[in-house]
Amino acid sequence: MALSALAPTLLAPITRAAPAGVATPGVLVVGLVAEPTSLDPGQLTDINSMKLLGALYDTLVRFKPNSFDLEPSLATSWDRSADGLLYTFRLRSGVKFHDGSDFNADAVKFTYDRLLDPNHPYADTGPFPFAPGYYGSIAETIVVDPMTVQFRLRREDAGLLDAFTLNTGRIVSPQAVMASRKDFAQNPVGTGPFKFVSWDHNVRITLTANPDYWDGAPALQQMIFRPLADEQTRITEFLSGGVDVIFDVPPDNIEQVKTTSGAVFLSQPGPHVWWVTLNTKKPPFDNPLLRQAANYAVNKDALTQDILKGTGTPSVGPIPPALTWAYTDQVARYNYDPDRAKALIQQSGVLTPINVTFWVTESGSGMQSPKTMGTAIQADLNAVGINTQIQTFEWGAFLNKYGAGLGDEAAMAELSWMFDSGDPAHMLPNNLWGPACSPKGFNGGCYQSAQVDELLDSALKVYDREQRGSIYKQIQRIVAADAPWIFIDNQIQNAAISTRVGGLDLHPSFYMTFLNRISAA
Amino acid sequence: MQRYLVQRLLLVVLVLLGVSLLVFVVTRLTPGDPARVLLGPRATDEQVATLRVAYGLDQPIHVQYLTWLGRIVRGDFGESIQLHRPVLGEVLDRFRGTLILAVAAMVISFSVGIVFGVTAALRASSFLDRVLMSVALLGISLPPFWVGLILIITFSLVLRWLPATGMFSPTGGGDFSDVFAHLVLPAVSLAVVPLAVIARLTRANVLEVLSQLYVRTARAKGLPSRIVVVRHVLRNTLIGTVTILGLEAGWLLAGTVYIETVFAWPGIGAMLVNAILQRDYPLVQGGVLLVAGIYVLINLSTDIMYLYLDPRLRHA
Amino acid sequence: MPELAVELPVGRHANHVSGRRLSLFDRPLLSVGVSLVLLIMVLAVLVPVLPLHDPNVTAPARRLSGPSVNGYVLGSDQLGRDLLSRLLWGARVSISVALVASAVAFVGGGTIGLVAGYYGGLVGNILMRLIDVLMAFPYVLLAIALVAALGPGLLNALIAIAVVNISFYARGVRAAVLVVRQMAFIEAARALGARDVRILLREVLPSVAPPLLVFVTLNIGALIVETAGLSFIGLGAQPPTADWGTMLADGRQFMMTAPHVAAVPGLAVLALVWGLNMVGDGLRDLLDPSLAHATR
Repeated sequence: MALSALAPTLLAPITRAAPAGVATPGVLVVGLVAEPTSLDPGQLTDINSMKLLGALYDTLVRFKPNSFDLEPSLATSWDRSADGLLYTFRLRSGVKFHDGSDFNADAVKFTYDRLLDPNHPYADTGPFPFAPGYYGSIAETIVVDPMTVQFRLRREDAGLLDAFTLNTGRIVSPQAVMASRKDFAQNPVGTGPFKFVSWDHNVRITLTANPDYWDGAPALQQMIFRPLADEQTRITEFLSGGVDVIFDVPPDNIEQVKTTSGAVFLSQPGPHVWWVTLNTKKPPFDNPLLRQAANYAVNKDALTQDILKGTGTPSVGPIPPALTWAYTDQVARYNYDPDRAKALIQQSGVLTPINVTFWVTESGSGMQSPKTMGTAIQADLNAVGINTQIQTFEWGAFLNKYGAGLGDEAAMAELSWMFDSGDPAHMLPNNLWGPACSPKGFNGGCYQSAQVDELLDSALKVYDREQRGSIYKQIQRIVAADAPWIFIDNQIQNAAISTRVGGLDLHPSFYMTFLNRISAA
Repeated sequence: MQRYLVQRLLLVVLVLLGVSLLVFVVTRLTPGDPARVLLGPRATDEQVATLRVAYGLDQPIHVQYLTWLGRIVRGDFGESIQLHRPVLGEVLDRFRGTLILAVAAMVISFSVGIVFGVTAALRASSFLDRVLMSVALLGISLPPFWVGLILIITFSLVLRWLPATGMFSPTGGGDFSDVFAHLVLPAVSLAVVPLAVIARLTRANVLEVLSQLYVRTARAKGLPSRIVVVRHVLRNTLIGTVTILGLEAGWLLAGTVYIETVFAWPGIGAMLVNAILQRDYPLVQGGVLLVAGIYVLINLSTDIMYLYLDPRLRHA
Repeated sequence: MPELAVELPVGRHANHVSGRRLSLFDRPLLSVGVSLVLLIMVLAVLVPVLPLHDPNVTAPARRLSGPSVNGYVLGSDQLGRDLLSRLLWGARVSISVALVASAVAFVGGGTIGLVAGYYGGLVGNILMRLIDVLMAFPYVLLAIALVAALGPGLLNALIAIAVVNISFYARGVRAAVLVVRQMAFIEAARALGARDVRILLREVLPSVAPPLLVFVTLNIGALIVETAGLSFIGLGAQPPTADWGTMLADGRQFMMTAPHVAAVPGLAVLALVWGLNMVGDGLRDLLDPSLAHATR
């Protein structure tokens, strides 16, 4: 009796006030989940490294605070020709790169030519993996005059404007690239609120304030980024005052952060979807009744509340609620109803137990807690007679298998996506478009719907936000009804920040934005 | 002696060649490739194929191997795919971190371990002996990463005596005392197992030597026991010691991974694990070659030390 | 860390008992070790008939319960599964993996070492160089690559561990064989015209076996920790299978908020490995009384 009373005390969570410790006024220390791979925006493919780009560089257009609406950044205004094949941008004058050279149309042309033209003299500072995907519709970049640049497209691409907010397209200093060549990745020069000072590999990256920043000098003097690969290490370092900010607090440490004085917990819905792809080409999930049954079988509320501790909300379709203009939840809903699931299975005539293989990954960007979630889903499916065998792979091997398609090997595989461009045009086609059936694309379950294909194509040719939005809402409805996936959740991004930090808001795009407005007491 | 050295050096080259082949084969056997990992789910097959060409992965495998080998011989270890910077620099940088950690762990495990072992042997089968050996047994049974976590929680979170992770403090720091403070916990975690092993082995070695005939002979000749201990015991356990040193160095080289992960210590173990998970072929190949090279050189050194220390072996 | 290469009490006294053999009861620590190991083994065997919760049933609402909370004797893990049950079921998995990996490494490495040690010459040299290559290769990396290449699953993790440990056994057996090879009774057998294979099996192997047994016992504990280490990095049993390594790795995330989830399997590993080490020590003392003598 006494022991069971004592045990909880002995095992009580460890909470202490975050100490004043190392903190220096005017200096912000950010904890990263890994060592950045490069500081050349064109080269980057990982969200972690991209966290620094908003400090060093700018884009032509950017998202407003807390929204996916566009506002001017390095471009002050823009328009599009009637046939949608010519975009004209007027650029901001008086902006200089950190190395003193001028920002102008030549810099923009240099930036995009380097990314897209394999014959560009500085194309060998690449490769640039994401460029063709996002900017492949650009045929030519034209300098009209020093403050005006044009993009001529080879096909209509309504998602291009949103694509210009992406990290891949951040404007680089031609003078610096020409001088450093490949070393530019270690010696970045942009127009951003902070200048690069030094990079101590695997230890820290130091940036200093750019007092001439066109949008207002930063309130901070310095930013330091520390890579801390281990999750528990990161949390420990935050709690002991070694870093001021960390992102993606592990769900089970959230309570701890909330109860630690000196720490603030922020959260913000993110443009993220996590789902389980179902193999629509083979039994049992070639039968829509069984796909719906799978959706009814999984307890998404328990998963998001108990396992993810509220760092996710149950999703209803392929488009996340954060993309307000393209989202609707007026769709077929699959609330947790195991009895309904069993009834549907009976109705389908397929005999239980049904044996299926489920591919699960050990880790991966945006995958939240992939093994735990996979295991919980497995348990839920087992309970209705769908006997699920899990095969786990580490991320590299997993991508390889998924990329080749579920084929004959698996009936289910988990995956996730982050819509950092704020636009479904950059994700849905890769995952739901008929012709993107693996191995051509990442439509691993080979979902085929002529209707969805048509809608996806048309959405690229419509420019009015509202009209495009209604097309995507249509897609949401159809896909929810067809249930080619088990819809699981949308991640809520979060951050733990020290109370000495001011002006830091999470942006729905997962980027660190408006860094000149952050202060540290 | 000369001939022996030349023979051994030739063998070193041979072994390293074997390792290079093995690492090449092993990395290519793992499913997936760097292009796919870089692009993640965000790319069509076409885009992956284009990227693969950029990295020379479309060439037949023996061509890739020979090209890489040719470059290595000229000192060009290539560029890391994930990190976009030269492999050699990165590998040496990370190795420095592991070296600091390994040396610290060796110093701790060696000094404390030998003291434990000699004390236990000299007081054989006393209560002290039993206690020391039980503690040593416990030491071998503990998973090092578990020890690391417990130490962090105790000394960093609860007592706040020492920093939790990393090699430096982020703002300022980087001087000797700063690194030293960061070194304590990981080095101790790493030292636990070797310390225990050394204590036990030392005890066994000392006991064995003590029971050797020649010691009894020396005693019979009437030499004072202190000289006996110092000269004969230590001299003859030196061989065992050198062996232990060599084995421990090898073990540490391989085993720092877990400690480096838990303490976010910038070492080569964690780098290699991450590199292979990212399919960063050039980095894995370069890193493994370096680690293997050092390992082989350590073996060579211990063997040469043997020859020096034990005249009997010279004619083997 | 392999103790084998340095202290194999081979041959010398194995067949000649010089002094009173020690019985089990003279060594209290050994008795504790043996009892501990036997207890765990017996429990592992009896698991299917014990009255335990289902180890795989999840109860997310009751996750991370402390010991004796919510009816869980040792508490529950991050999915609400009973820790005691998973611990005992996991014992079966972890122990069998270690035993089988040990056996495979033993047979594989032992054969190589036996051949290399007995025949020597070019064959022996080549074999040992190959082993050198294997040993020079960073162990964890090889394991990761093997698991990635072979696919997921406990079986493949087992193969990876076995392959990586072959080199230790090969080296150790060869060292032992080298010593034994010189001995009188081997030369005698040869002189009498016995064939090599016969000598290997009937004379060499029995002399080498006892110290090897000691080594194997000591090594199994290390293998259990190695399996845990690999799970730490993310390779091993597939969900929902429990094994101590995966439990340790999973529990790591909750060290600060619910330390019992990692503490429980951690202590189990510690207990079993400690017990095995004590048994190994005791075996060594039993087989080589000269060392034990020195402690009197």
